[in-house]
Amino acid sequence: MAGVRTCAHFSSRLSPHTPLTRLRIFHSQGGRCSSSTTDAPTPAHATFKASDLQIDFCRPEQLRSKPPVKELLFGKSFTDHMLKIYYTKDSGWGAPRIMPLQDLRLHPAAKVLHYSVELFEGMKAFRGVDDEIRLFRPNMNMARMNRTAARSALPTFNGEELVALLKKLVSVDQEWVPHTESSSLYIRPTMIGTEPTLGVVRPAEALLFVILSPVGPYFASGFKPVSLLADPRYVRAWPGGVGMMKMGSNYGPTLEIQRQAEQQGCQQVLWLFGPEHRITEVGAMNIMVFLVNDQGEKELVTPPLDGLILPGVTRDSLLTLARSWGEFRVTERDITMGEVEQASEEGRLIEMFGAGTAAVVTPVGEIHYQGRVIRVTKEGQKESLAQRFYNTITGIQYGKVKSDWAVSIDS
Amino acid sequence: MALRKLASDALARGMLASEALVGKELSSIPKAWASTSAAVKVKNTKKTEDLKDAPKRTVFISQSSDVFSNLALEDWLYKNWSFERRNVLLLWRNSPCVVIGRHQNPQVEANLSYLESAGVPLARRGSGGGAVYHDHGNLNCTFFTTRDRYDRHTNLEMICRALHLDFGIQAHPNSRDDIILDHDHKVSGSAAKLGRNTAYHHCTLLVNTDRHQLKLTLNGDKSIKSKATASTPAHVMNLSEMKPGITVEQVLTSVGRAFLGHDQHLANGFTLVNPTDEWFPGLGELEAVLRSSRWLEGQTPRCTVTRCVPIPQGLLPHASNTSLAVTVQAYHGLVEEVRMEDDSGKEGVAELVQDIGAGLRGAPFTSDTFNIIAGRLRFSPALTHFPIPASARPIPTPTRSVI
Repeated sequence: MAGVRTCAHFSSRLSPHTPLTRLRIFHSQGGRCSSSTTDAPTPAHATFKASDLQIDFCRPEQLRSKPPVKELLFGKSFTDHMLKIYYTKDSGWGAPRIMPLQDLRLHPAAKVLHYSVELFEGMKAFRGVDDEIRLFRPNMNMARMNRTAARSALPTFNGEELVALLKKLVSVDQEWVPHTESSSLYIRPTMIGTEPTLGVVRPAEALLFVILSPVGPYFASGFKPVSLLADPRYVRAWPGGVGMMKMGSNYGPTLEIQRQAEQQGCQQVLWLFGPEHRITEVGAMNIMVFLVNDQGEKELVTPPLDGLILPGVTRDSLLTLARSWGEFRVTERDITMGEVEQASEEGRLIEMFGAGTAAVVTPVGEIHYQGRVIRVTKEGQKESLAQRFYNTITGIQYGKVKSDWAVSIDS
Repeated sequence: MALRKLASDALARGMLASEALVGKELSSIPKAWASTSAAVKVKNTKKTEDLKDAPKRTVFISQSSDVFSNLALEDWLYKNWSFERRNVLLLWRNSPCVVIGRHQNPQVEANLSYLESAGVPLARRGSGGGAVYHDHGNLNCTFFTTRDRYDRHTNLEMICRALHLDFGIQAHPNSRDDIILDHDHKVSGSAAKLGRNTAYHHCTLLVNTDRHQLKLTLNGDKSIKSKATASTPAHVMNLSEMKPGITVEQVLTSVGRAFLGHDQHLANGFTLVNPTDEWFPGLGELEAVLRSSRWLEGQTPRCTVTRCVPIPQGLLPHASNTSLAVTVQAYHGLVEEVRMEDDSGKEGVAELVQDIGAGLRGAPFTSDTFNIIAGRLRFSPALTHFPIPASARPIPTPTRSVI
């Protein structure tokens, strides 16, 4: 796929000044190529446009076979196509392209490789019971992606244009979702700094790309609760840092700690912060605690968005739902290990669960903390809050219940 | 000259990059498909809004070469999907097999003993029409649409255009919806299934099929009479005889691209499909039905077969008779009735034959049935030795109608 394109459309949009080396690296770029000395792109190229989309469909021999459904493990298999949009400081955003999934070509000095100039998003498309395919609250991911881009010294864009492009990409690869219930397509938009210079400065060149990974059905009935390792020595995010941004650099350092947790028989890491051991997040999810508080009332607690916490879309959805039910107090406030441990000892700790795109909710069974094991159970629960949240959210995602939150790819 | 015209047509359709025009033979599919979208970039105009309601187009390519899985997939899509917003072209190939139409008789259409010895399965499809032989040199195309968008002729025209543009083959559909090459040679036959909301039109396309095997398998028993759909024999031909070296993969790509068209708002590209129950819940059941003898044999319309059965000497008054014309009537693959073709003056034997029929009623009608009848005739006592009084002779049952 590499090499210079010579189709008429492309050559008419290049100026004679474009150096040949740029051509080779940015062979898919269709942007304006005039020399410009301004730092910021001119308004006309402040975003790419879905209407500029060019599609190279896979030829039949490039298509990959569909494996048995049980082999569709999260993030292990990918669909046939991808989306790529190049950006340069001089020309702004180029034309979006959908093309066969392929390797990227990067210069060894590309900034992403040295200073982790990278951000990503995680969202899903769902095949509904009516066979319509829907995205779940995509505008929230777009807004978050742009906030992270601004903070990452990467270019911003019009989120609606990217949503339109995602709809087309998902439409093209929709047969990668089995026709069973509870199958979905995980969407991974990513942006990287590609400028091939070692200076510790904002990259003048970037690439936005999107890949899709089919997720086979998994059984929601009977969630298996996970055990967590809570070790205050390890800090995921800190005030003044980038905990609220979905940057790859937040996740890389967690891998080794995750491995240590597994070695000790736990499935996830519970991230603590500060001398009072505030709980912040679990693994790569937000954390929610459902307990009977000091005033004897039921309360759903989750840490506030004070800079350490990623503003999860699932987190926001659950809080909004719970508030609309009006059955118990819903509070965004700090909560410490001390409070959790005491609630558990006094039998007031009802449930704890992680909230994220991958599984919606992940119930917590126990926490290993400073040599002790804190149990998270309450007897006599008919239907857990986690299960109720799961049923409601998936009901919306799979089109069983109408909602503005589920956006059809045909709209 | 012809090459230049073809190439300029192709360029106008955005299917070739300009460098391919210079002195090259159109021997393979041009790889620069990217130019298609480049040549026809759809702007955000009123035209886009008109197209908003037009159905999207996707090409499915089956990963399986098992005829039962593929027929089940066809059936699954027909029964479970709405094609309101999308048109689908399913392209599939099968390992060697014979496929008969919904209302056909396997024994009439195929040489069942040859099929068994050659390990070639027989399948009955859900659409009407005649019997066909499939192997890896044949491409099956199924066009799914809503009932009101069903248009066989347009589909066939599209295939012919693709063959012309990409291979220089001059083919055209005839009034029977066959695709004809070289005046009278058939390269494709069509059949269809029309439901209330959904319809499909499917056709074969002979690229480089084993014509010898085709002849051997489709050599059925034409002495069987019935109102079952008869196949129309035709001179068939492979596309490879007109264009040596052409492959099914090339034809697949060519037909698929023609179907997708140039408007990238509407085109959804190619995708592989895996026809298993996991990917398409309920497909397993459909496949089981297609494999069942109840479907394969049990759908056979009523038919009659007349054969000369050898009879033992002495069974009939006149010793010169050594065989008897016996007719078996079968329905849904089971024996309904057995009778003599001409029972004048042979009432006793006629009764005997009918008794044998009574004994065989409900039994599967197979290639062995006449042997069984002959056997039972051989071991009956000779009626001539036992004259029966006229008053006691039963009146022969008047069943001479064929159906």
